[in-house]
Amino acid sequence: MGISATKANDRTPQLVVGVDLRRLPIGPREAFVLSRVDGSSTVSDILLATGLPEAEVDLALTQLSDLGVVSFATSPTEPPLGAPRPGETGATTDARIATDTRAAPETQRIARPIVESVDRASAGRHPSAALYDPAELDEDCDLDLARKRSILDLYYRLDLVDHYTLLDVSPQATKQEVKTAYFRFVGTFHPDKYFGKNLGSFKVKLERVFAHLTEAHDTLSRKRTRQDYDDYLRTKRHTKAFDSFLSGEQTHAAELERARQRIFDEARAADRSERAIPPSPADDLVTVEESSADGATSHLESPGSAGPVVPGAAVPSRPSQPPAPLDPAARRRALARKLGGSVPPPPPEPKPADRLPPTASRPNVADDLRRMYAARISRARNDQVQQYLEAAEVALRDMKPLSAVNALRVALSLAPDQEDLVRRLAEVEREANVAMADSFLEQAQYEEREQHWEAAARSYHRASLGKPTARTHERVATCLLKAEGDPKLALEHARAAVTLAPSQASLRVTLAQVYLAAGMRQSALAEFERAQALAPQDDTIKGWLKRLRRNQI
Amino acid sequence: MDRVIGIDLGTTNSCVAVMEGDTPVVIPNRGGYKTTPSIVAVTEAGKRLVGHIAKRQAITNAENTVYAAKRLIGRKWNSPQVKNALLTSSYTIVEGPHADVRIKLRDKTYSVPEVSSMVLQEMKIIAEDYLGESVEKAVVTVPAYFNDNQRQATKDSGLIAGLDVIRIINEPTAASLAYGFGKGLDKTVAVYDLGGGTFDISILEIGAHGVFKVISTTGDTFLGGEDFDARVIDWIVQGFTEEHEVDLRQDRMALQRLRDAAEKAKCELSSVRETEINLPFIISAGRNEALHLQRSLSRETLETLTEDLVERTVDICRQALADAKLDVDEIDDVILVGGMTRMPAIQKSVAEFFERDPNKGVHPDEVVALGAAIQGAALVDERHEMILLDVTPHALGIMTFGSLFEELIPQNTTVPTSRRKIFTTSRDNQTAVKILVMQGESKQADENELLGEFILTGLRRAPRGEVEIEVSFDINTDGIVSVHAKDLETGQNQSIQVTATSGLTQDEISTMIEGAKDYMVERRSDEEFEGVRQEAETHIIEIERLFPEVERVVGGADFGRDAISKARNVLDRARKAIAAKDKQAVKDHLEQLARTERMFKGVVARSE
Repeated sequence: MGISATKANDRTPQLVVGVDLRRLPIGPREAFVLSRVDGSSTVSDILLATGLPEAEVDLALTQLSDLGVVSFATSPTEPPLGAPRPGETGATTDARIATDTRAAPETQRIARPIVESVDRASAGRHPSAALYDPAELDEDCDLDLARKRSILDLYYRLDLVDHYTLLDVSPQATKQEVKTAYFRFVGTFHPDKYFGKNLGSFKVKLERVFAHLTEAHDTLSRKRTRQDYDDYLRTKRHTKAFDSFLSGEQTHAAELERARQRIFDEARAADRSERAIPPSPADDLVTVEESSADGATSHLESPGSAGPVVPGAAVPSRPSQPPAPLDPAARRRALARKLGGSVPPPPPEPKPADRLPPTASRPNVADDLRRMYAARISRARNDQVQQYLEAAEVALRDMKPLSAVNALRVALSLAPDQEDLVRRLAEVEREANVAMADSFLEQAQYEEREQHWEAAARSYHRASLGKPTARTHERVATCLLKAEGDPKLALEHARAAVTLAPSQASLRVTLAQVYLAAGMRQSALAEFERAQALAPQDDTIKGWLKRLRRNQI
Repeated sequence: MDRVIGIDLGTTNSCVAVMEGDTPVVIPNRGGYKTTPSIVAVTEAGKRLVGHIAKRQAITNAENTVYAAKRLIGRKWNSPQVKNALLTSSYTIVEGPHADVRIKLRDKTYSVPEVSSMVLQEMKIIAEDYLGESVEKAVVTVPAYFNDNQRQATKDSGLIAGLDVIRIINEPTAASLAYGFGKGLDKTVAVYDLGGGTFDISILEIGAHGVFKVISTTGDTFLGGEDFDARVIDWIVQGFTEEHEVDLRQDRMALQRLRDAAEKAKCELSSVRETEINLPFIISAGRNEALHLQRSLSRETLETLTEDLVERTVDICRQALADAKLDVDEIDDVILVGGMTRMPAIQKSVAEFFERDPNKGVHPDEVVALGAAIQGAALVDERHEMILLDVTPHALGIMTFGSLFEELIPQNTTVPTSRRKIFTTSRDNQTAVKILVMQGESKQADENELLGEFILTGLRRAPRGEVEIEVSFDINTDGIVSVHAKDLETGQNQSIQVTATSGLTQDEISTMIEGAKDYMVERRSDEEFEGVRQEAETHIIEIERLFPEVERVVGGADFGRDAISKARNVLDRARKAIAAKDKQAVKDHLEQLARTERMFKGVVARSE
C-alpha cells in the first residue's frame, strides 16, 4: 500500500472532499501537515511551511493518503472530483462519505474499476478505440487490421458489458436467438478459424473472448442459470440506479434543470397572462415556445443570476421539456398558499410588481421589472418545491424510496434553507438504504463468489448502510482488504463490526488485519490480544501474535 | 495447401478419408475394402503385416498377431483392462519399464503406441497410394470417453507413424460432422456410437455458420462389440464343456478360432435369423483324435445373451440426455455409428428410447473417418465454413487434503476454457504445496486418473489456512491442459503443461498420494461455512467461559456431572466439525450448542 511509487516533491496533495476529519485515526503531526494541504501547495511548499523533516512529511502524507484524506492529482491543474454540489449541506447521511470517497482520485485502487464499470457499461454498444492502445493494432501477426480491431473491440469490453450486450441480443431473446447469435460470433472468434496461424498476443485474447461468449451463451441458454443471472442483473441495475440517485449526479441535476426551466416558464407565463391572455394550460405551452424565440435569454439571465435563492443556476440552453402536466392555475395558487407557511415569502412586495407593466413610462422601470420577475420566480419556485414534496410523499407511499429521494433532493436544491426538508431528506435516504440493503447484500454475495472484491466491498458497504449488522460490516472490511482498497473505510467497518458484536474473536481478527494493512502495528497487536482473550484456543490468532511480536510482519 | 487425412483408428477396423473438393470420400485399401482390420502381426521371417493380410494369418500365427491394441493404449500395467487382456489375449503382454504395457512379438517388445502406429502408417500409405502424393497431416479420432493419457498416447502413435496429428477429435462428433456438413441444418442430434471396444453417446447442436456444438458426451470405455463376442464365446465354451468336458479356453489357437467364429456369427445374425458355427478339429482329444465344434445360434439366443449390454447403452443415453438437460422429444435425429449398430436389437432399443427411427443416411463404418477428414480440411482451409465446439469429456481438478478430488473444470465444458480457484495450505508452517492434476468424476481422488503433478515451493511459514494459492486450469483447442499455481502473497508461480504420464501403476500413485500428504492444499472454507463457524464459536466461547462456574455449582451432583460431561461432548464434537471444515456438521451442532449455552446460563443465574 501507499503511494511511495512517486517520490517527487512537486506533487500536489489535494484534500478529499467529504471526509470527516475528526474521526480519523491520526496524530498531531498528520493533522499539522493536513492543515497545510490546500490543493495548490506542492509537497515542497508544505515542507517549507511546516518546517518538518522531509521524511516525516512524506510519512504523514502517505498515511493521510492511505486513509483517503488527501489525494495526489495527476496534474496540478485538474480539479478534484467529487466537488461539493451547490446547495448541499453537510447534514446528509453517511452515504455521502461513501460517494465522495468513491469519487476521490486517491482511492482509485477501489474506485476506478467501479467507476469504469458504471460509466462505461452504459457506453455499452459503442466499441471504442479509446479502451485500448491503438499501437496494439500494429502487432505483427497473421491477422488483418479489421480482424485485429474486431478482436480488440470485444476483448476490452468483456468486463464492462453484460451477457446480452456481448451477444448483441435483447433481454427477451429466446434460447434459439441466443444460440444463433452465439454461433454467429463463434464463426469469427473461435480459435480454430485461425488454425496454424501466428496470432501473437491475439491468441490469448481470442481464447478469452471465445470463453466469455461461451459463458454468455451457456448462462443464457439454460433456464435456471439465466434466471439467476437475470436476477443478478436486475439487482445490479436496481442498485446502480440507487447509486446514481445517491451520488445524485445525472438524474438529480437533469431534473433540477427541468424544474428550474419550469419555474422560469411559469413566471413568464404569468407575465403573459398579466397581459390579458387567457391562462389556459395549452396556451401556457405555446407562450413558452414563442417567447423563448425572441431575445428571451437576456431577460431570463438577470433574475436567474440575481436571485439569491438559486446560486449559480445554469441558464437552460435549450427549450425545456414541457413541464409535467400543468395544474390549473387555481390548484397552483392553493399550493402556493400552503407553502407560504414553510417558505419565507420573497423580499420584494408582489403587489406593486404585479401592477407594474402597464406603467411602462416610469424611469425606474428596469428595477421594477426585475423585482417583478423575482417575485414571480419565487412564487413559481415555491410551487415547484411543493410539487416535488408531494411527488416524494406519493413515491414513498408507492414504496419507491429512490424516487422520493430524488424528488426531495430537487426540492432541497430549489429551497436549500429549509431545515425540515433537510431532515426529511435524511430520513427518506435512510429508508431508501434500508429498502435497498437486501438487494445490495445479494449483489455483494454474487460478486464475492465471483471474486470481484472491489465490487463486493462496495455492495457490502451499501448494504451496511441500510442493515448495519456485524457480519456485513466485517465483509466490507474483508473485501476491502482483498481488494487493497480504501483503508479508512475498511477501518470504519471493521470497527463497527466489533462494536456490534464485541465478543466475536473473528471480527477482531479482521479489525486487527485492517490495522496491519493501514500500518498501525500497535493497534493491531492490541486487537489480536483482545481476540485471543476471547478465543484462547485459536491457532490462527496465536500465529499472528507470535509473528507480530517477533517482528515478522 | 497441405492435404489432411482423417483416420478413424478403431478397435477392430480402421478407416481413412480425405476431402475431394467439398466432398469427403473414404479411401479404399489395395484390396478394395473401405475399412482395414486394426491388426498387426510379425511373421516368422520377421516381416511386419498389417490389416487384412495380418487377419488372414492370425489363426496360424496367433501368438504374434495383435488385435484390439486400442483397448490397451494409454493404460497402465495394473489397470483392470490390462489384467483382463492378459487373460484373453492370444499374444503376450508384458510389463514395460515405466509400469506401462508392452507387447511381445517374436523377439521384440513393442509399446502400444508403436503397435498402433503400424496401423496408422498403413492408413497413411493407403491414402498416399490413392492421392499420389505424400501425406503428413492427419486428424485422428478417439472415443469421446478417452481420457487425456489415452489421447496423448494416440497422438504419439501418429508421431511414430510419421504423421503430424493436428487434432484429435471424438468419434461421435466426427460422425455428426459427416452427417451435417454443408447441409445448413439447424438440429439437435444424438450420436449413438457402439464400436468394437467402446460405447459413446454425444448430443450435439448443429446450427448456422457451420457450427457443431457438443452439448454433452458420455460413455463407457469398457463396453463394445467385443463384449458381445465374449458372450457368444462363453455360450459356446460352456456348451462345449458340457458336451465334451473340455475347456476350450486352455488352447490359444482354439480360442482365436472361437473368437473369429463368434464375431462372424454375431455379424451374420444381423441379417439372418439363425447361423451355424462350424469349427472342425477345434481341439485335440488325445492321440490322433480331435473334437469338432458344431452349433447353431439363433438371433433370439444372441439377443438374450446380450440383453443387459444393450440395456446398459440405453441407460447411458438417458444419462447423456440428462447431462444435456434435454428431453427425448427435443432430439431431432439419431445417428448410429459403429458396426455393432447393425444389430436389430440395438436399432430397436434405440428407436424405442428416442421415440424415432434412427437416421439411415450414414454408413456406420465410414462416417467417423469422413468427419475426421472434414475437420482436417476445415482447419487448414478457411473456405470451409465449419466450426466444431467440443467439450471436455471428463471433469478436471486437483487432489486436496484427505484425498478428495476438487473439480475446477466440470464435465461437458466447451473448450477452449479456463477456470481458477483459490486453495489454502492444509497444515501449519507448510512451505510447499503439491498440485496433483486429475481427471474424472469421482469425489475420491484415487478413483480418478492422474494426469500430472508439480510442486510450488517458497510459501511463507504460517498457520494452516492462511497462505492462499490460486490454481488455474486452461484447456486450449488442442485439448492440451495447462495448470498454473500461484502464491497469492508473493506472486510466485509454477505451472505445467499436462502431458501423458504414460504408465504409472496404481501402487505408484498410492505411494505418491501417501508421500504428498504433507504437501496437500486444502479447499478454502467458503462464505457460508465462515458464517456457521462464527456462530458456533460464539457459543463455544460463551460455554467455555461459564464452564468453571457451572462445574462449581452442580459438579457435586450426579445429574450435574452428567450434564457437564454431555456439554463436554457437544463442545468436542463441534470443535471437530469446525476443524474438519464440515459445514453441515457444524450446522448440525449449532442447535445443541445453543441449548447447552442456555442451560449453563440458567445454572449460573440460579446460583447467583
